[in-house]
Parts: sequence; structure tokens; C-alpha cells
Amino acid sequence: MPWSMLQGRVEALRLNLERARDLSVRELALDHVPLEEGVWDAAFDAIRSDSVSRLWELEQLSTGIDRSPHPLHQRVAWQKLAAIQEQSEDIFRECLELMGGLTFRERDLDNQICTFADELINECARSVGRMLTTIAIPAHNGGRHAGARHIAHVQFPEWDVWTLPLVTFEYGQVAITDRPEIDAFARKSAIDVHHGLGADQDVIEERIRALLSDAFATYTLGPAYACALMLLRLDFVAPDPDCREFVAQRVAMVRGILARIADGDVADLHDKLGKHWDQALHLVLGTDPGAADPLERLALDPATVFDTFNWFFLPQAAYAVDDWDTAVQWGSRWCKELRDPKLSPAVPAVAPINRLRDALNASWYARIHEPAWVTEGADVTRELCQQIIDIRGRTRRPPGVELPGAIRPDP
Amino acid sequence: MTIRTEPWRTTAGGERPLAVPRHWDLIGAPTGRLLMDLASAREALAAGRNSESAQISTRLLALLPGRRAAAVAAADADGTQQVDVIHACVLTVLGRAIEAAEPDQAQVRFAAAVAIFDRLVAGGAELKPAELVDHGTALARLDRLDEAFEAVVTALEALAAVPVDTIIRIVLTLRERHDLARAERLLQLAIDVEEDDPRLAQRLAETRLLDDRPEQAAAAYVRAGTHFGAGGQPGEALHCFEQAIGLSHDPVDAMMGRSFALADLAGPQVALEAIESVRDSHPELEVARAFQAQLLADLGRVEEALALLDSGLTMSPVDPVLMAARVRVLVTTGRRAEALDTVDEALVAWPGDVELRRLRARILRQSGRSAEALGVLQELLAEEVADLDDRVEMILTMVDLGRPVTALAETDHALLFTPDSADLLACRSMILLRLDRFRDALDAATRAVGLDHDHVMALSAQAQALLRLDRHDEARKPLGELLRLVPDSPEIRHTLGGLLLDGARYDDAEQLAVEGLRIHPGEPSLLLLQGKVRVLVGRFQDAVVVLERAERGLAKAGGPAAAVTDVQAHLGEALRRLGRDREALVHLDRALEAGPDNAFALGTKGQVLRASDKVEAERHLRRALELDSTLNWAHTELGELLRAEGRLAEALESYTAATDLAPQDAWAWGCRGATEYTLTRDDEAAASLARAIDLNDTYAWAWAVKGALLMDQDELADCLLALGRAVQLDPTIGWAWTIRGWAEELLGMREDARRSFRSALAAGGGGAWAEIGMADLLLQDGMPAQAEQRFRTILKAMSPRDALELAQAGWCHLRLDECRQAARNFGEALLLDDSMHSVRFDLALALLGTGPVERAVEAYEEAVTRLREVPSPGRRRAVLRIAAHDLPTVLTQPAYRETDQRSLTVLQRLLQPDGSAEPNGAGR
Repeated sequence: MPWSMLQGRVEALRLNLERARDLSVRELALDHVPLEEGVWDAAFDAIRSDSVSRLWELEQLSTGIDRSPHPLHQRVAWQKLAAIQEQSEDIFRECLELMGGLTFRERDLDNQICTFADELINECARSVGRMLTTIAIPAHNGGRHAGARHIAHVQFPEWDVWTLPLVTFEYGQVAITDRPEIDAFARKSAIDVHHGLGADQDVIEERIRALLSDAFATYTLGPAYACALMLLRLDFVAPDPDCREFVAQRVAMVRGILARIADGDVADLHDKLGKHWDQALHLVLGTDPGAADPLERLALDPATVFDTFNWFFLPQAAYAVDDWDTAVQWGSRWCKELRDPKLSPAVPAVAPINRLRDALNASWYARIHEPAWVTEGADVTRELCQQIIDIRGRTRRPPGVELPGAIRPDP
Repeated sequence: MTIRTEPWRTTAGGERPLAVPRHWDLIGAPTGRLLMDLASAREALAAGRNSESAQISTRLLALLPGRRAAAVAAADADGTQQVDVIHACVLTVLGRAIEAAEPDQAQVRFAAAVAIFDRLVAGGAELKPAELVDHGTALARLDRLDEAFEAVVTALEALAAVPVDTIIRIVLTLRERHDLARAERLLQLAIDVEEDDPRLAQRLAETRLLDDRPEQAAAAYVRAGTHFGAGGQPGEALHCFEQAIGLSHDPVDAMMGRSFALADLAGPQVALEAIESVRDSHPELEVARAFQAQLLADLGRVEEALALLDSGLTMSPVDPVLMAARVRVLVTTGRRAEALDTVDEALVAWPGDVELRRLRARILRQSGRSAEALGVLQELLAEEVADLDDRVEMILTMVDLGRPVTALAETDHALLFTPDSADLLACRSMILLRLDRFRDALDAATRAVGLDHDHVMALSAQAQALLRLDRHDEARKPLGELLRLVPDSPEIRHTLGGLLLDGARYDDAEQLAVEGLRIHPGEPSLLLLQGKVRVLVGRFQDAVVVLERAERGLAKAGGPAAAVTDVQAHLGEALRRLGRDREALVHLDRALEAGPDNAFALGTKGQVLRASDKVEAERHLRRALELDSTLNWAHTELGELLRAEGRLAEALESYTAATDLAPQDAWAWGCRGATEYTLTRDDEAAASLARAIDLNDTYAWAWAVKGALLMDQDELADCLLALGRAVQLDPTIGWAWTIRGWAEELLGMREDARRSFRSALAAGGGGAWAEIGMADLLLQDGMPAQAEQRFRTILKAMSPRDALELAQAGWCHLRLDECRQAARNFGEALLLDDSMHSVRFDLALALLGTGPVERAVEAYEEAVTRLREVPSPGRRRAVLRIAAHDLPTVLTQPAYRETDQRSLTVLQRLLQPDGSAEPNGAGR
């Protein structure tokens, strides 16, 4: 009975979509994952909204099948169902990813790396203004709309501090969209490039936003982001020339922003990082740069981006020379301790003013100078991150009011 | 026909009338209950509890008519008569109970009673002895003495106890009628029944004297004197013995009695002279020799006493009186082993002698051989030769042997026979204390003290019970009495001293210690008391001196662990107060070694550790409070520790506990107020600080915090007054000068502000804010070069580590025209502490210097929006006032020169007080 089989499929999909639509965080009974209501809503509303849209389409299809005076042709109906089914698969995948990720965190299977990621994003969000933060979940690959849905992904199995800076990229997508002036800048840049290249504007805007997110992550996090991205993430031997070129553009953006921050040791690091990158590129690819990317000329000037950020984000958002001083101070001490067999690297004393980005930059500084600083470095950095979180906001004192002398019974 | 059934009178088997008691009345209580109540009324009267007796009687009187009516209705003649008898008796008892207070009313009751008795007797009723007593008593009160005489004699012949005052009233009337024979008969009968009442013997003596029989009168006086003496009335006893001496030819007994009375009244020396004159005339009297020896021993002339007894024993080697006296003298001097040998030796000759066996039991108990002592005492009891003292001794011995429950049963049994024995009641109280029944113990002790105001054991038990019930103020009275009775007891002095300390009577406590130390030089418990006083009055060095003496004394004598802990803990406290923390810790550790759960030592150690190890300090303070939650200073100390760590809610809890416990503690109120201020609970803070200042108006720190609060509330004039008072009291509070400087600057009093900032810096506690204030004034006064130099110096010395320091650095950069860096510092400060509203305005001001102006306006708007979240209008006003003051102040700087007037107007409108920042946004 082919007709009833179609109806059966429609009914089955409807049930599945309703299940996704009605998903609630309460079902997870999270005790250990601090999930703000606003963040959950932002993360899940899009899923719910997509589910509702698909259900509406399904309802239309159902009407077309058996209640319309002009019933749909069977083949057309099957084709429509297949399209809805395909779109629904994204919803189900996202649901599974979100719920699975949160459950993963609840069981502490990620060794708390997502907690650090949350804190890093939180720091970043507060520094750029009062924007809604993003929840980090472990995943293999980021979803298509992860940034817009206030979800950041910590890539499986890279659950250590070295790739932690990369979550800032995903928050960058949120920050850029949330700040109207920068969102407008992204759109205008896409339009300008589109006019010059004639490529698909959506594809161009997607790339522009990715490049801006890289810029944002470097702008707020400093060299640590550049190191994590260039040394651990970007695939410069990707077979697809399109991808390869995009990688080159991302590297150029990150290096461009770093160059603007650059001063003293940052410049030194910037040079070192560039040298590593260029060497690797040369060794692997030789002189063959591969086929040309149609978007090769997608040019976004890092200096303009940097100035735009400077103009519209609050000053405390930017990674600055003072911050790099702290990183160099901590990082060089670790290097010294690593070189001396009698010493073992210790967690430095932290102050409330310190942020997680200080710890990550110090750690990358040490790793660039002492490549052996991997496992131990990760452990010490985790400990340092925890101390920074612990000390944050613990002390608040009113101006001038000090304690009285410890005297009794009366002053 | 309807048969009415009463369900409570039916059973499953059918209707069955219940057996109703014969004297069941309408209310449902048997006549036996009335008789019991009558007995209670009589008992209360006999014990002198007249109002209680009157209450019981009045209650009974209200019940009787109904009961009588019920008996009449039931045609129960016997029942009616019984109720009438009870009625008459109750009236008599009531008359006696109210006689002193309401003599006329009493007469009415007696008359009514007699009327009923007469009617009953006329009707042929036979009265029982107790009823005869009441009849006779009522008749005597109506002066119908012949009838009263008959009734009373009949009662006495039936061995019923007649109130002594009734007897005396009849006897006096008979004597007036010169009917001495009947008077003497009545008294003899009464003495046979109430042999211990000396008043009867005294009246007998007087009667015999009237009858001109002096020798017999003297004998009666001796009897009266002996009973007066035994009853604790040596004055009356002396009078009787002297009467007897005047009447008798050979008044040896009276002379002996006089000596005994004088020993109680005038001390051993006078008594010794009296007994020596007895011995002069009657050297053979061994009782006199024994008493003389006892007096010599009391006077410290032990060897003379023993020689006197030994010379007597040479003549009568086994005289039990002399041997007993020898034993007593030896016991007095602590020579217990010798005493025991003597008593054992005597018992060989006089195995049945009660006094010797009694002495043996006491020596055994004092020597720690309580089980043997108990055996001896139980034998005496079994032989029915034990007196009340033996019984008390036996009870105490049982307590010694750790058998308080048995001892309590024994005490209660003894009390059935002698309910008004202060000794037994005191014993009961001590035992109940052992059993942790403090309220019952207090009741028993209070009764005992009521019976004997000078009963040491009862007073001690009463004091202990009150202390255990935390009624320390009330415990002072019995302890004071004890001290009067036993002035050389260091323990009592120490305990009483502790109570005086609790009541902040430091001088009295010190006096107590000093007096005690005169009696017992070097006594550790008294040195400890003195040390505690000195710690509390702030004489720490003096405290260390005496406490170290106490420490040495205890070490030498191997004192109890509790005393060691106490001394070491207070030494630790004194040294802590002298700033000698390391030494303090040594003593506190010793204290805790001897008493690991000593809350005072734990708390004090927590205080010392605050400077070096906050985690351990908190642990010690919390443990101390677990053990003793009443340590208000430990609550405050913990509060301070928590406040310093920014754990303000927890700190406030601790301070609240401290102020609840000690509402007079200005320090705790001050700290509480400061915490409430930090938590921006301004109304509560103002109340707490007012309380602190009320309790101690020289509390400079509280004045300073109050000033800061008033500054934040935009009450600048009052703020200046409070801060003025603070720095007047303590010019070293640098931050108070700084806040004063700000307030003065805001009020345009630049010169005053400059002076205040300078004083802050001179005081050394002004911090960067005072430096910044000085530099800012230079800039305002048109001296940019000097100002820049000053700002640069401040920044150079600064390494911002928290929100406050970032804000300070931010302001320096702003005034140096480095607006981007300033904005960055302010922004970072806000990341650390989002509640710093002033800093949000500073950030906006810095952004105005960096451009674009739209972003600055946006930042100002956000600052104003966030300021609306502040519930206190005063605080909102204060922040706006500062922001409004800062905006024109910086406009002369290069970075702000291009700010257009239109934008400035927008900003000025935003910063209007009570405008934009109002929660409803009225100004927007």
C-alpha cells in the first residue's frame, strides 16, 4: 500500500520533530553545568524554531496528500517528504550534539576543559560589553550555525589547554553579529567583495565573518589564539585549493592583527610564529602553491579590522602590551624552571586582575621557546587557570575602609 | 416507656450499675482526698508556710458546703458528721494560718470552728486526737481555757502533737490563776510528746521557779539550754544555762553548757576560760577535759590539747570520751593515720561505742577508704543507733563511691522522716547535681538554704546549680554567702571571681583575688583570677607576670589539666595583646595540649593565626564556636577574617551572632555596620554604626565608617561632621582624612581638601587616593607640570592588582590625558567589580576623551541605566554628583578640548540629580 506507507513516514517524522521541539534542559537534570537560562534559550530556540517550521511544512504536505481537493501527485509528495526529512536531520543532529555534549560535561568526561572554555568566553563577552555568552560543549566538528546559536565547540579529542583558545573563534561570530556596527561592517565588506569578485554573496559573507572571527579572537586573546590556530588547527595541505587559500587568508588575518598588537616581545613572537608557518608551508608544498582559489582576492585589511574593533569594542577587550608582559614574565619563568633540572615549573602567584588569556599566552610563550612544554605545561596551565577562576571576584573592598585592630572587648 | 441508659455504665454483657464509693460526692472526689488536703494544710502550717496553708484551707472551705449537702441528700449521717469535723478542723487551721496577718478574721474562724465542734460534741461525736488538738486550739484562742485544757490534755495523752503556742497560751493563763499544778502537768505531758522543743522546758523551769523549786527549775533550764544549743540558738542557750547556774548549788551541767554556748557565741578563747573554771571545780569531769582539749586544738595549741588528753588517759587509759576527743584533735590536725590507730585502740576496749565507731567511719572516709566507712555506717544504721549526721555521712560516702542513685534513694527515704533537714536537702541537691538534674538540684538546695541560711553545702549546691543553669547573676548571692562563711576557700573565690568578671565587676574580682592571695600566697587559682582581671582591664604585662607565677605554681604542684589549660590560654591571650604572637602560640599550644577542646584557647589561637594562616585561623575559630557558641569575640573575630576575605554575607552572619550575644559590644556593632555598609545595606549599616557610637562615642573607626556611609549617601555636611569627629579622636585613620578631602573638594573647599589629603598622607594610611587628590588639586589650580609629575610618580609606584587599584591607575591616566589607557583600566576594573558605578562613569568620561563622542554618550547612558539599579536615592545622587563634578573638571585637558557643546549639554542633562538616574527614568 504505497499511499499509506507515505502517510506512515509523514507520521513518523512528525513524532520525531515534536520530540525535538519539546526538548527541555530539565530532562537533563544538570547539577554541575552552570547553564544560564538565556544561553540555553539562545542555543535551543533556533532548534525549536526549525522544528516548528518543519512541522508546519509536514502539516502542509499531509493536507496536500489526503485533504486537498487536488491531492498531490505521489512522486511529488515523496520528493517533498525527502526534502523535509533532509532538513530535519540537521535538527536531530544538533539536538543530539547539544544534549550529548551537556551530558558529557555533566559527567565531567571532558576533564573540565569546557568549564575553562566557558570562563574564557565569559571573560571575552564581559570585556566587549554586556553580551550573552556561549556554552561550550565537546564535539567532533562545529555545527554549521554553532556561533549564532551561542554554542562553542571544544574539539574531540583535543581536550587540553593548547586548543582552548580556539573556542574564542566561535564566540567571535556571536560578538560580531551582536555589535551592530561590526555586523554592518561585515555585511558591507561582503557586498564590496561581491561587487569585485562576482562570487556568491552568501559564501563571501560567510568567509568574511570567519575572517572577522579570527581577527576578533586574536584581538581579544592575543598570540595564544594565533599559535593554537596556526600550529594545531589549520590544515595547510588540504587537497582542496579553495580550502588552502582560505587557510592562507585566515593566517594573513591573524598575523595582521598580531602585527598591530605587535610591540617588543609580541613582535618577536609574531616573527617566530610566521617563520614556523612559512617553513612548514615550504617543506610540504615546495614552491607549488596549487591551483588558484576563485576567492583568492578576497581581501580584508587586518589594519582596518583592528581599527574598527578598536573603535567599537571597549578598550579592555583588546589584548595589549601590558598583558603580554605578564605572559612573558610567567612564560620565561617556566622556561627557566624547565631548563634547570633542580626546578620544576610552578604556578605563579595570581592577582584578581589576571585573566585566563594571561595563562594561555604564558603557556604558549613557553611552548614556542621550549617545545617540550606540552604535557607538563598543560597540567601547570590548567592549575593556573583554576587559580585565576578561584581568585576572581573573591575580594571586594570599599575604598579606604580597613579592618580595625584585632582588639577586644572594645575598641 | 423509654429507658434512659447511661453508656458509661453499661458493659458488653448488659446494663450493670457500678459500685459507687460510700463517700463519693457530687464532684467525684472521695472524703479521703479532703483529709489528705487537710493534712497538707497542717503540714504547711507546721513548716511555717502559712500562706500555703491558708490557700489549701480556703480551697477546702469552698468545697465543703457542696459535699455536706450531698451527704445530707444521701441521708448519710456519718458522712455529714465527718464533713462537719473536717470543716471545723479546716477553720482552725485557717485561723492559725492568718492569725498574724489578720487577727480579727482569725478569731471569726476560731469561733466558727468551736461552734461546729461544740455542736458535734453535744451530739455525741467522739473526736480523734488530731481533731481534739484543733478543738483545744480553737477554744484556747477564744479564751475558753478550761475546756481547752481538757481537750489538749486528752490529745496529749493520746500522744498527739499540740502546737506549742497553744500549750504556752494555756500554761500562761493557768499561771495567772496560780494553778501551777495543772500548768506543770500540761507542760510535762507536752514535753513527753515534743521533747526537743526547748520552749516547753523553759516554761517548765519558769513554772517550777514560781512554785519555789529552784533545783528542779535549774534542771529544766539546763534541759532547755541544751535543746536551744543543739537547735543552733546559743544565745537562748546561754541565757538558760546562766539562769540554772544562779539557781543551783552545784551547777556543773549548766556550767558545761555555758562553756559550749560561749564557744559558739564568743569563740574558743572565752569558752576555754569558762571550761577551765569548770575543771577547776570538777577536775574529774572527763567531758570537760575533752572539751578543753578540743578548744585548745581549735586555738592551734594542738600539743597542749594532746598532752591534756594523754594525762587524762594515763588515769583512765580507755576512757571512750577522752579517746574520742583525742581522735578529734588528731583529725583536726590532719593526722588521720594516728587518729585511726587511736580509734581502733579505743574500740578494742569499747567495741560497741557509737561515737568511736562514728569517728572511725569519718576518718576512713577522709582517708579515701569509703567502702569501709560505708560498712561501719551501715552497721550503725542497722543497730538503729545512727543519728541524722551518720545518715548524711553515709549518703555522702555512697556518692564518694560513685553510687549517686543509691545515695539519692537513701536521701529520699531519710527525708520521709525528717523532711525539713537542711543537711539531707543539701545532700539531695549535691546528688542531683551529679545526675545533671540541675533544676531539681536547685529546688532542693533552695529549700535547704531556706531552712539554714548558713549551710555551706546547701549554698554551694545552690550556686553550682545556678551556674549550670546559666543563671550566673543569681549564683553570685550564694557564692557571696559561701565566701562569708568560708573566707579562706580559694575555689569559692575563684568561682565567684569568674562571675564578677562576667558582670564586668573587675575591681571586685581583683579585690577578691588579692584578699585570697593574702591568705594563700601563690595559690594558682587566685593568681589565675588576678591574671584574667588584668587581661580584661588591659594590663597585659601585669597579667603575664601573675599568670607566669600561676603557671609555675601549677607545674610545681602538678595542678589539674583544666587549671593548666586556663592559665596557659590566658597567658597566650595576654601575650597576644602585647603583640608577642610567637610566645602566645607556644602557650596556646600548651593550653590545647592539656585541654584540646578548650574553646577559649582555640578561639584565641585563631585570633593569633589570623596574621599568618587564615585557613587555620578560620578552622580554629569555627571549632571554638562549635564548642562554645557564646564566645561573642570569636564570632566577631571570625567575622573580621571573613570580611577581609570578601566573604561578606558570612561575615555579617558572624557579626550578627556577636551582637545578639553581646548587645553592648560596640566593637561588634562597628564591624557589623562596616560590613552592612560594604554590602550597601545602608539603613542597617547606619543603625549598627549608630549603636556602636551610642555604646562608645569615642569609637573613632565607627565614626569614620559612618562618615564614609554619609559620603556615599550624598550627605556631605553630616559626612564632614562624622569624619571630623573620627580624625579628632584618632588622627591616624588616613582613609578618613582622604574621604574628608573628597567631600571638601566636592563642596568646593579646595584648601580644606588639600589639608585633609596632606593629613592623610602624614597619617600614612591615605594610600594612593590621597596622592591622587593632591595631584588633582594641583591640576585644578593650574599647575599641570607639577600635577603630571605627581601623577607619574603615583603610577610608577603602582602595580594594579585589583579593581580599586585599576580605578586609581585609570584616574591617573585620565588626568594625564592618556584616555585610552584610562578607559582600559576602568573597563578592567569593571570586569572585576561590576558594582562600581562611579567607575562606569569614569569609563564614559575616558571614552569621551578617546572619541567618538557617540560611544561616550552611549557609555554615559549605560552608566545611568545601571545606576538606576541602585535602590538608595542617596547613593544615586552621590554618584551623579561626582560624575557631574568630574565632567567640567577635565574639560580643560587637551583630549577634551574638541568636545562639542551639544554633546556636553546632552551629558549634563544625563547627570542631573534626581533626573535620569531615577528608576523610572523621569529625566530621560
